[in-house]
Amino acid sequence: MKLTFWEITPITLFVIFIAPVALVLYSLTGEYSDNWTHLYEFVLTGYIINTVYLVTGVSILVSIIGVGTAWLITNYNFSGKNIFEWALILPLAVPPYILAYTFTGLFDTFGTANNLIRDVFDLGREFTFFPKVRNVPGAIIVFSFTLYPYVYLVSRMAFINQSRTMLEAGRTLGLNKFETFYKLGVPMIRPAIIGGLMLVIMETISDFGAVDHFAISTFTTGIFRTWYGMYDIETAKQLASLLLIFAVTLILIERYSRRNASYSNAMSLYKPLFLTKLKGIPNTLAFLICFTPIFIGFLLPVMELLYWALNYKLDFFNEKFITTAWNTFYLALIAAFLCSILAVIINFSIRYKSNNYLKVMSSFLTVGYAVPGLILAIGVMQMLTYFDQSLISEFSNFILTGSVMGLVLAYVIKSYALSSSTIEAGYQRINSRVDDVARTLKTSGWALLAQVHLPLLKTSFLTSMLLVVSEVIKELPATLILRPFNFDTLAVYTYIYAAEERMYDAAAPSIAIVMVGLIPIIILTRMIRTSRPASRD
Amino acid sequence: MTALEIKDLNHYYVKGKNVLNDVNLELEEGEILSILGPSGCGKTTLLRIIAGLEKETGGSILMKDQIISDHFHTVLTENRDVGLVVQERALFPHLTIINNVMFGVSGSKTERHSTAMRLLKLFRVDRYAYNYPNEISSGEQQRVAIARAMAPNPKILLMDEPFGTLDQSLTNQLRVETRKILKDNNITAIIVSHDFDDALSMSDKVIVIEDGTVIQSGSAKDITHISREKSVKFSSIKANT
Repeated sequence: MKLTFWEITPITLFVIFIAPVALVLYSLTGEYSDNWTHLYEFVLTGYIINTVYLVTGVSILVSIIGVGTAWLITNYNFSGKNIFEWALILPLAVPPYILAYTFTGLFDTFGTANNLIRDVFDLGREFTFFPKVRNVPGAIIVFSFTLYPYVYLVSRMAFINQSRTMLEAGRTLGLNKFETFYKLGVPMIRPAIIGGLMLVIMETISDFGAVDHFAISTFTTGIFRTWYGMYDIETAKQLASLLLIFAVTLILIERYSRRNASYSNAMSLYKPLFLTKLKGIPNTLAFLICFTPIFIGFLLPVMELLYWALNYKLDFFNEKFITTAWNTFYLALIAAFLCSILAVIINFSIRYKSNNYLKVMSSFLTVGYAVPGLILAIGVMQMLTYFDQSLISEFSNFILTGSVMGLVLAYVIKSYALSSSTIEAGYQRINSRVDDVARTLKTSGWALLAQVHLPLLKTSFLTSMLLVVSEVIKELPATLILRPFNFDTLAVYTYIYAAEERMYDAAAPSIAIVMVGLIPIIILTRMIRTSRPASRD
Repeated sequence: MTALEIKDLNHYYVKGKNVLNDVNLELEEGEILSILGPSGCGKTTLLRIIAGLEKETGGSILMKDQIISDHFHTVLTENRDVGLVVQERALFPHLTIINNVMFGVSGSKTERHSTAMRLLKLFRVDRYAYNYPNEISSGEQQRVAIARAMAPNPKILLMDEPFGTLDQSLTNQLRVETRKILKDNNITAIIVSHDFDDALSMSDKVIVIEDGTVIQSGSAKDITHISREKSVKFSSIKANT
């Protein structure tokens, strides 16, 4: 069989993406140290239980927040709706570890919130008003309120593309408005919700900053402790391998649950939704439901960070800051563009070639998202070292290890799942009959992609860029390991200060991360709004 | 001249369970053929195989005496010179009506534009040339879909349940209009339908397929007499779907 570009590209990417992960997994075949035996006998069960609690709690909460707000915004007109529509994405700019820092700063016994109430009511230090947040429920809240936009974005896109006629059919069959939501609206966008939820779960299980700050033992904290506390890199990689197996299992479950789902709309039959105007109590409730996640996930941490920064120092608009912000931004844009283009090419290949092998391969390309950044960075570094030593040195003096290319490669492998899931959801909305007709009109391959698919995937492409940019700006461990010498990003600044509990110092670069993260969110959100056919109403 | 010839065509997805059995047919240039049968009988599969969207598991297809698909080689869809109209219309939503119709036409921009406008005028939708598909009615969308498929001047026009989602009066009107345009322009066409009236009012020839096998073939007039019973059967299927 003659291989074409549409088969060669996925195979090549599969090799490049899997190699670092395989290097980590290879550790399972090595020797197991005493540290491993200790971890296995005494702490591994705890890691698993805590991880399962976190994943379950976060999944439930983000589904309620993400899907609920997306439904309200798509189907109703209420006070503040036009602002909430884009403001609900704002928490994407706040990494979970920054929300965790501000939560402890706010709600600890001598945190800002408790102090404020004590001062107002002139009470003694023995009074506390907020429950402790350094525990699993606290972490669930932190993850849920920073990660729900993943579910919100995909649900909103899917709800927008739901045809009015289908929902009206439900109403005529006796469903009330709430039943239409959970019996018809939600099941119809199940593939999109599951796609968004998988991103949230993978983000949760691979996080280190927030759980470490809350002193919750999970796989990632275990990996870091084994590495930095016991200096046992092999056992750390073996632990990471277990986490990886868990992630792969999740991906397989997700694929299995979506195996027969085909929810594409016949676009020519699409009828945009009518918006219902809410008044009185329903209007207030809708306002509160949308305001609360923005308040907890964005306004509260930003206010606390500003309070810290203004009370301590606000000296970050120097040359170093501008260079660092520029480094962060251009790296994020390059990675986002590469991820999105690759996701389009891979998903197009699967659709165009109708090849199940390519489909399975594509699932494995998303594994990088569940690999903790530090472990992925080690895998990438090992791979690049091999290239430097065995291949490239033969032809040139250029060294990949420690170059921006290595960093971009790690970002692309880590963030590809975000792009793939978004582009895949976009493709589900393009009726396959459009391809059939295009082919009879002598349009195939690149022409079909460029002239038909790309214009229809514009919204998904922009959403994919948005997700990757905000992800890369927040990425810490991979940056620390792979950054070129004397090359800083904003995340590196924040990490160094926060690790030393110097929260006032961490405030300024944290604000900068949030601000830089906001720019693409605002620009891309506006572009998404104007590019949607349904937004013409 | 024979526009299309299908010889001993077989097709299956699961070995031993054929969806098409030894289908043979011949279509002269300018003739309109209807493939009639209940849902799931294999008629759409046959159309997709003619278009090259699926590869038959046995038999051969010839267009104007040239083999376009057999055991040894296959001409890709994009090189077959066929036009396709589907029930869902599948108009490109990001393109205006005129750009939809110009899409598959080759030549200079002026030539492409003039071809597209001629067809839009023929189907009386030229006033919507610069509108988007979601801004016109279903009947107008279907006219545009047929115009788009005809624009590159294909050897054969394939139509899969072209009027399936339209109301009866619009369907009747479009049947008459489409047949006139096809005949005036000497276009060879195949229409897949489960509606007996489509076949009766539009075609010169009809074949009836059941469970992947051609059970009747002949002129529309012959089938009218022979298949009264089938007609009732298909109508009841249509009413139930």
